[in-house]
Amino acid sequence: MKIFKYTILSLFAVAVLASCGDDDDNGNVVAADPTCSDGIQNQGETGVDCGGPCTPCEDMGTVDFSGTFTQVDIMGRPGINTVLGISDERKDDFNDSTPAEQGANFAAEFTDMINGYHTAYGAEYENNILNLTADQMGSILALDVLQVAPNAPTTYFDGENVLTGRNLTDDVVDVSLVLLFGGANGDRFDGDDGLPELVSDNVGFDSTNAITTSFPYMAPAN
Amino acid sequence: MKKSKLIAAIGGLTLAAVATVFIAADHIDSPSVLNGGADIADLYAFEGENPDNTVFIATLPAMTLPAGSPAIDFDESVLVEFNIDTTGDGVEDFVLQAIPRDGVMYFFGPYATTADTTGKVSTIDTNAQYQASVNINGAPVTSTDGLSYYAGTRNDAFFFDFEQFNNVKQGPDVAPNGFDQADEASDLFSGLNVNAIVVEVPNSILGDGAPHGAGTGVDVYNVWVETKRQ
Repeated sequence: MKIFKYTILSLFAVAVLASCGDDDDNGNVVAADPTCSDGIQNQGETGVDCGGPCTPCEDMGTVDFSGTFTQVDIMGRPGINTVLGISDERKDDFNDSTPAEQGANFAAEFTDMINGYHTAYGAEYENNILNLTADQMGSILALDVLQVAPNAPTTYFDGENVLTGRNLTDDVVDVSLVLLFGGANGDRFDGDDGLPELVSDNVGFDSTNAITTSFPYMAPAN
Repeated sequence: MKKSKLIAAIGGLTLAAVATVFIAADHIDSPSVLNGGADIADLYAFEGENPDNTVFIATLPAMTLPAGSPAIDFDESVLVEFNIDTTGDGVEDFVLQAIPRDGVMYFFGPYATTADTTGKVSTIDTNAQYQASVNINGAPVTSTDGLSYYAGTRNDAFFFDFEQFNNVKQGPDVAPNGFDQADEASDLFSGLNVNAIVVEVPNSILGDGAPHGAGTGVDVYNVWVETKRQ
């Protein structure tokens, strides 16, 4: 499963690279390109020659965008609140916080959760492959933003680069589990020697999900 | 990639590089937003097909849908807001707002923030320089400024044996062996659909970013997505 998963990932990467060289001729070239004055509702326009890539339709001025909007959910990296929130009440609190507030308010209890998962299996947390303590991990994770590098290839982790974004195919679960449960060598709790499997959920990117290398990237609905 | 290689490579990183990683998406995370139109499922941010662009994707609601289910409409009372911190201080420097009205998704931004558009309470800047609208579940649109927009129901890309995770969470009485091995593990999200908002932005609009908070030596944008209810 894993090898298969990474094969798919590699193919995707190759496809992305390969597509960069010749996208001047991408199949969208037609005899008469749609314009914002051709009298036809095309090219994603929401009215005839307006909306979409054209100037807003006149009725856009009548659509009501007034009022104030108040935060009810927030997310940066995958799974933080789902996995490390200590209670329903505190999960709600987290969703009502901003990144600037999160470190001070949630680091200690995230650390408690990291320790708690270990306690449940009769073990204690061991510093991970980056030699980080449970306290350090709690602090790092409590500031919940997803970094993306504008001038470097994207990966959650690819063996060389780390945290330069999140691709649709990145196995964010396994990377996370290794850092939480992998210990100093990354393979603690690997399902051998009578220990439970906690460093991989053993599922990979769904090979039937036909993501594309072009906008909008996600595959059509099933 | 073999796990040993992955482990060796992670081991070579600086401490701070960890700065972040984490577990399994935000699906199904909080009672106050559970299953509502404002419950964020996932956030992705990656280099576009044109490497000078960055792609931002938010998916919602958290409970994704089996094939053939009627689509769940985007909630017109919910503003989806991408927050982009380009200076490294954890405060958004740009926001990109999306809100549905009668089958059309309207986009405002990215635009530089003001006191009215940072933090937990926001208004929509209808005078923003970059604006667009797309028919929900219609064709993607690319503006003359090089931004691309899409909103509609797509195949959920997230993968996770979420059911077994819930067992693991309950400890060895329920999951004595931890996660299942590959022949028994099951991706709960395979074949499910989710609503997606996808925007591709030229990096020239956002700038070069700031040094990674984890000390990796790479300049980054810090990104998060918020849902805000009227």
